[in-house]
Amino acid sequence: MLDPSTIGASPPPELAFRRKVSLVGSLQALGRSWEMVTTLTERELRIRYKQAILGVAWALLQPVILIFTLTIFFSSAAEINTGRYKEYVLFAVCGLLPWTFFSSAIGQGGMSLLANLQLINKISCPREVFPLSIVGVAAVDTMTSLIAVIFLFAIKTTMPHALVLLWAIPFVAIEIVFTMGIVLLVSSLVVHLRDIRHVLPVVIQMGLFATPVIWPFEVIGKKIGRGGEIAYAIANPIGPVIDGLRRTALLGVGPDLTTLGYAALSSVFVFFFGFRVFKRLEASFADLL
Amino acid sequence: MPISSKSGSPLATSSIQLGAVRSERVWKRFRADLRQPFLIDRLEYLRDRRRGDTSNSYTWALRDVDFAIEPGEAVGLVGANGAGKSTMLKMIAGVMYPNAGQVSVGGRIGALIEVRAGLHPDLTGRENIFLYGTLLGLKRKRVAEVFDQIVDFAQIEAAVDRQVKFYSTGMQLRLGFAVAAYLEPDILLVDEVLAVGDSAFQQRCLERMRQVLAEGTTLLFVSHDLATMEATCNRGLWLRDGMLTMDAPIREVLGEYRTWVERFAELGSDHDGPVKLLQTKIDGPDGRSVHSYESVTIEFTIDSDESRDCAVYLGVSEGPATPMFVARGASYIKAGRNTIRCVLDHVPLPNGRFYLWTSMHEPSGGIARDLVPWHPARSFDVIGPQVEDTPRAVVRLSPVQVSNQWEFSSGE
Repeated sequence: MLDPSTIGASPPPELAFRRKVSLVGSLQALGRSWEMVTTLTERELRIRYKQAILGVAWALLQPVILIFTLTIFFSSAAEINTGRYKEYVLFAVCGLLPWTFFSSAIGQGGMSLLANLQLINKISCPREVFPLSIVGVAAVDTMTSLIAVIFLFAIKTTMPHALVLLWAIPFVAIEIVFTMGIVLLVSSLVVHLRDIRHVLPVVIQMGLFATPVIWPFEVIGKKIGRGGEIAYAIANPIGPVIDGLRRTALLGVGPDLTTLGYAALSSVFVFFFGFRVFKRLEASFADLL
Repeated sequence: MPISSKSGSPLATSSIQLGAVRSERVWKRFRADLRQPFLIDRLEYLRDRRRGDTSNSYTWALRDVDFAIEPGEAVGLVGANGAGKSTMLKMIAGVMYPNAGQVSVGGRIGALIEVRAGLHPDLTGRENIFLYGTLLGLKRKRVAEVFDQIVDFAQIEAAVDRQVKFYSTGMQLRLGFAVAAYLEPDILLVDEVLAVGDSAFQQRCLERMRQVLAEGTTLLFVSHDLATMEATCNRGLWLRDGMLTMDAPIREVLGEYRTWVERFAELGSDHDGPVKLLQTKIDGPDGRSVHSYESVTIEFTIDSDESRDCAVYLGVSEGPATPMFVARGASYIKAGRNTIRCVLDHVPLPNGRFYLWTSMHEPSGGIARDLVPWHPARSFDVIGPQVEDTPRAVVRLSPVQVSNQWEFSSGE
């Protein structure tokens, strides 16, 4: 028999558990767990389309309906000065595509830890696979929407400029890296502060208007000058991505390299920051869920 | 497989052998209050803290738990509900982290724990197996290789392409276990597997445990089924109120644990009925102590408030209310003091401590009225041969030892 009476009321401070997380080690572990992310993405998609009568058709119908609505609304009601862009619908679509990817990834991904608490309490896997798999779902949705967008270009008998293909990779990279950073940040904070769950939809709504989705990026430059544009690019890397997409696809001119560069730097910073916060808070997830 | 540490924990990078588990002065606390992680709760907490009132915010679920398990050991973890067993397992599984101290684990962990909740109802059995296997760290290719074995183990061949929401509870339970059971872990955690599923499935779980043990896997077993634990494990850990009370060979730990459980039962056996059990005597032949294979005389002294028919049951167990055998006697008793004597011949009990349970009833028109409820009357020690060990992971229902002679002959 051991004698428990020698045990104090609380642990000696030198024993306190400090979970040191090395960034490189965590990234390597994430790399090894990549199959988990793809499997979870697949699960989300399967579940979604099993519950719907029309199944996978919804993935295509959703953007079609959205674009249809936009066309009616903006071609008849709204008067927005789009400057160089002639066709408002195409202009709007170039903004909607990146924005919808971001907002749906954050909206669902932010709640992904809460939604999977049963698994988190039972299985030891890198927890970031849950929010990241939702980014994967959003990516699949966006690819599907892209088909609808191509049809739209065909209907408008406009060819997107081939230049967009050249720039697609950096655009997508900035967009995804930034989205992953924010989704990691939000999903881990939600566990500690559930109020975020109620605030998040409102913030996303506001983000739609704060991002150049229905207005052109140049507006910022006109209002607050070049410095304002750079500051905006750092705060919201999606802005320069949308701007670049419009320039390359609709006008056939190259993107603004300065703002795009700042956006790239910012998105990488946001990713590492979000990943770090997530890994710091990870140890307490099972206690709080 | 390379020697790896608990996922993401750099503390465990200090080398630890494959299959070993180390818990070094581990402390774990939980919030005692049921505050939710909402903003208003956070603010209340900060307010309390500013007032210096944090005394009641936490309870310690584990306190200074220190042990080391060598590769290949089979360790049973006993303790009452809420003693911290599951918390300990969660930390070994890498789901939870301690507040102080450190837990290090060498190799991959397989956990036979209740995982039904992790299955997704809208997915088919097949889809769930792949999802679950991948999350547990298996490559899809590997899951595909053991897929048939998993389906076979869970006995869901006919339903594998049906959505899990249409499964029976038993099927869901079996599916959850089956995936974990075919992980090829270096360390296997088993938490109350045998409390769920029908007896045929329990047998298959035990069979799987036997296989895994034979392969040299380290086993950590949590159960209230002490007989299974005794048959499976060679070492016991006893957690009491979050503290490690005993770390010894399984037989010794279970002996102490049973005695401790018994003390609680006896505390609750005070009763005030029409018949009072005044004294219980247990003797071997000629008043000596009790020996294996000899006769035992049990003598109850009772006090009855009136004359009546009385049936007496007595049973012998290792502690719990489920006896190994039972004897019954009935007679008419007079008001006042009576002595009831029962002689058991050739008692097949091995060396050790046993408990005599008894109850008394008044048979009246088919319905027996309880005069004395079923309770442990007293304990007694038997002197004799040690009970024989069973083959590993073969569960003996009760430790009865029958005297035996053997003869081995070769040729015709």
